[in-house]
Amino acid sequence: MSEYKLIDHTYDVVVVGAGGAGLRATFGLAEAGLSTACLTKVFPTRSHTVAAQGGISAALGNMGADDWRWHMYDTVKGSDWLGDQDAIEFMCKEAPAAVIELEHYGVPFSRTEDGRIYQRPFGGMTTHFGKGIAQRTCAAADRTGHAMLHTLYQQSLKHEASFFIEYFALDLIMENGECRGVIALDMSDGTLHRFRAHMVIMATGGYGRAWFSCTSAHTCTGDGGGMALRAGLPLQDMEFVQFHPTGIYGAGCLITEGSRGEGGYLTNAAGERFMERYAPNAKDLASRDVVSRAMTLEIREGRGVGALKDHIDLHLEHLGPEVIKERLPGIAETARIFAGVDVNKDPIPVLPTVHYNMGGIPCNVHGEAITRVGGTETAVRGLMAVGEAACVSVHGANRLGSNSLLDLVVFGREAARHCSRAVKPGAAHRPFKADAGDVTLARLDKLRFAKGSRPTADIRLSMQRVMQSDAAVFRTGESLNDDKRKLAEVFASFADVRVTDRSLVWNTDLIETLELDNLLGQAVATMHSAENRQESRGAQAREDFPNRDDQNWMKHTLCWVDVKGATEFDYRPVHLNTLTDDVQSIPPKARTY
Amino acid sequence: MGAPTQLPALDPKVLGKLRWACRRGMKELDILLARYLDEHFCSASSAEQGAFRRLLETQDTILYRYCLGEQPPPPEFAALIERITASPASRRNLLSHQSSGAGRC
Repeated sequence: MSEYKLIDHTYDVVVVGAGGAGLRATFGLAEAGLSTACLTKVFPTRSHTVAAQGGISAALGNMGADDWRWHMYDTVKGSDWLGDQDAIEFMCKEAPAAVIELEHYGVPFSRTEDGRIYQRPFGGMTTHFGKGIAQRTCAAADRTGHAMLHTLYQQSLKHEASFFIEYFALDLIMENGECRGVIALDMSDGTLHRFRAHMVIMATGGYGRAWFSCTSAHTCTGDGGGMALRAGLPLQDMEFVQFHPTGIYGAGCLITEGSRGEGGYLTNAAGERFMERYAPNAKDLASRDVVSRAMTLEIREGRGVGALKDHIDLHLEHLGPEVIKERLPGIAETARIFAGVDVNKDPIPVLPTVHYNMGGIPCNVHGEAITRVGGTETAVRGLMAVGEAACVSVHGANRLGSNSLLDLVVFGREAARHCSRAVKPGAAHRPFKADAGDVTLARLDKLRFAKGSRPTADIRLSMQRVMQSDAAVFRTGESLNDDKRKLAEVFASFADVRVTDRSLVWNTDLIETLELDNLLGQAVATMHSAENRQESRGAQAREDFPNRDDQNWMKHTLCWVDVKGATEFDYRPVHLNTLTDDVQSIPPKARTY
Repeated sequence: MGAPTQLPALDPKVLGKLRWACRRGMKELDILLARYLDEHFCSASSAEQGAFRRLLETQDTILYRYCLGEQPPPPEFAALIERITASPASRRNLLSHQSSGAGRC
């Protein structure tokens, strides 16, 4: 691979990804005096965190009594007891301080009349261990994600972190099971760069684009998950995929859950508010999987709306134009442009749409990546993960709305703290092995000159259709097996991919092909893990195994995918233990709302 | 008025850079901007092409407000925003519009 020159860089820590988690980590690292590089394929403020409209949860108690233990209870219950309780305790307890810290850095949270941070209700968030409805979600109007990204980017620049923008990370550089750095392509000039670091933090987000209908931006291709799989590392709990109940029918664009928090409700073809039957207490504010499943059931039983009876109505028209404009800005226009609907007169047609991946790179509470070797759990030296790319696991089988921005901030901050304990600023590095990165260059070269018969967009569409049809809200063993076979064919067809542009400069065809490579491995991990788990829990709803099976399946799935698309499984125990004595473990019980 | 000026063929690198600049943090913008690039950009006047390039420098949330009519765009972008958001929003079109890889110019 001598025709490819590598430009070498050395940092204490390298962060891959500049969304909320990556920037919070970068800022904390730079603040701690560690030399820090942040690599990102899109400009930081164009990361998908910008789209987080809903808000960030924290038991501040500004709108009435609240307690981080109630927040913890909700999160454990929301996770359907697959979340690790030590990590959930940590997140909920840290939440108030993390939010107040964000406010001090400059995030302009909306306020109550007496000047405190305004908090709104959100699905699944309760008081007194499920008895009342909590107002726990803080928001900067409907631009919370945007405000967080800008604030954290400014803080990172202020502390002199180095940004490598429009660099596409290709692979981790592994040496005897240890991560030594990362190799990346500078898309603007085609140069290749090898970054050596004591720690690499993956903050690459989710992989929503593996599905046909998703709410995520086109950039969400889970590149970190693809890199981890190629490095021989497992991904955890990939069968758990959250569908947002209210994606606009057709386009997939999101109507925020805040719309139901402010009084919006769902109806079927008979005009019935059916959530009253499925969740008598929480009704339209039940957690996302409960609402998505109820909607899917209504449609399957012939009560869907529209000519094809294939979607559900979301009503906001009773709220009045003033409330919609003030509390839910943007929603009227989104509905007009993407659904052709006037929300003051008519309901918005909606459908459950892929929204969040609970699975990811397995991590402990500090963000250290975990694997199992010969049946023994071990931390992967030199590698960490945060945010949607990671599986800590605080969301377990189902994430609650407004817990993801919290996850980004709390664990981004903790990852930086962990590095500041584990890495000495300026500590000497061993040299790379002479061939470090060669495997990656060979892969890049092969794809760059690929002259098969299938355009990248074709293969991607085939993958998305298979994923949409069965890695969906409802799953059965029979169809999952069928689709494992169909997905294997799609995976194999990647060997026949055709890339038309041979350049390395702004070659979006090549970049999308590299992204597809990342998506395919994760699609396989998702489908196989869904087939493997013979129970229903949270977002995994198996028609052939309708009940939760704590005896056999209260455990995390670890899934490895090899270069041929073959999978291997192992498991990790769910941590039912808490981190401290400040709270008692929440014992498993049926999850009803 | 004479015949429309024949536009020079765009360098693939220039088009690739523009296509990447249409990658945003929000799906709504991905859909609208990539659709404009594929369907209108290459046949647009050089003035409109210039406006589009400048528009891409706008922050996502502000661009979102322009596109969704929450904030009037500066006069130089007004006509362009209208074209970007006025294309027939047929559901089939929106669903199938994931960026298409190589440029179509």
